[in-house]
Amino acid sequence: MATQVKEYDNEAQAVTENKVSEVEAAVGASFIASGIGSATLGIALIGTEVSSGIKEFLTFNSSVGALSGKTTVAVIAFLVSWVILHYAMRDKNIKLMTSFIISIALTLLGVILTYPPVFLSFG
Amino acid sequence: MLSFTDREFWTLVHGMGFGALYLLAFAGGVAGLYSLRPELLTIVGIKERLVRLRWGAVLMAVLVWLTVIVGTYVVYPEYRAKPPADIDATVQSEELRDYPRSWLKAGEDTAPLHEFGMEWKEHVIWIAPMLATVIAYAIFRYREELAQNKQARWMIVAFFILSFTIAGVGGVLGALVTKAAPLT
Repeated sequence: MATQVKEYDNEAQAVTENKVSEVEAAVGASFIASGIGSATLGIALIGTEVSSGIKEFLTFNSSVGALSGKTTVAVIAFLVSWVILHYAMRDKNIKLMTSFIISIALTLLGVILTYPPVFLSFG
Repeated sequence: MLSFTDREFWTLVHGMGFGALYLLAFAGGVAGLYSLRPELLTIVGIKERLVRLRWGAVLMAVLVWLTVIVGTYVVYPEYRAKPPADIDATVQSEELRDYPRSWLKAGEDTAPLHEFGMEWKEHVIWIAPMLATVIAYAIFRYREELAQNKQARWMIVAFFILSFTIAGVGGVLGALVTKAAPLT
């Protein structure tokens, strides 16, 4: 019986140790949000290359052109996804390393999609 | 006496002001994070270092946001302004010099500076402030725990390097474009 109680204690301790802290979840959410913002920038840029309608729609400021819309949409995606993920990830046990890898992958996707030989190939 | 036109002034503020300060602050930020280790510092030292790191990271984020906003909404419209109809946009004339994008596109050798350099810079640079914001947020949230948490510290350093690399690419491309077709 005593051995069984000890085993339960060890199990509970292991679960506690593996639980992601509130700070880790919050920072993880911000990491992923920055990746979403970066990837959105790249996707918006591809959108303006493939469709003149999207380009026109994203021209929020005539003197800046479609760049104004592409960057505004990316910043909004960053901020909105940050708020959503902040609350959504509070109860999820997502490790910081997982958030970091997702963020780096999305950020690199954003960098690649903004590389002229890549986005011009969609035009 | 040294004087600047409005266009020169804002180009200077964008590149040599906000942009250069951000790139300089990067070195301080990374050095601060690297040395934020319990075996190197006392508890008082960690607390003192964290205050500097925290506000330094916020300043960096503000600087890089100002760099991209001024670059996009103040400098870029001047760069992409279209020449009037009576100026031939296919010949690199003195009249066309006031319209940097058109001037670059008019020359076979200079066209890649716009089509590759400026096109990449104007987009990719917007990733840097998002990363810088997250860096500042992470440093604020972790507080003293950052000295103990090696994994989080190295992830933030990775974000620092990524943000710096992107801002550096933007800075170099911007300098090349400005050298070939300055806003005067």
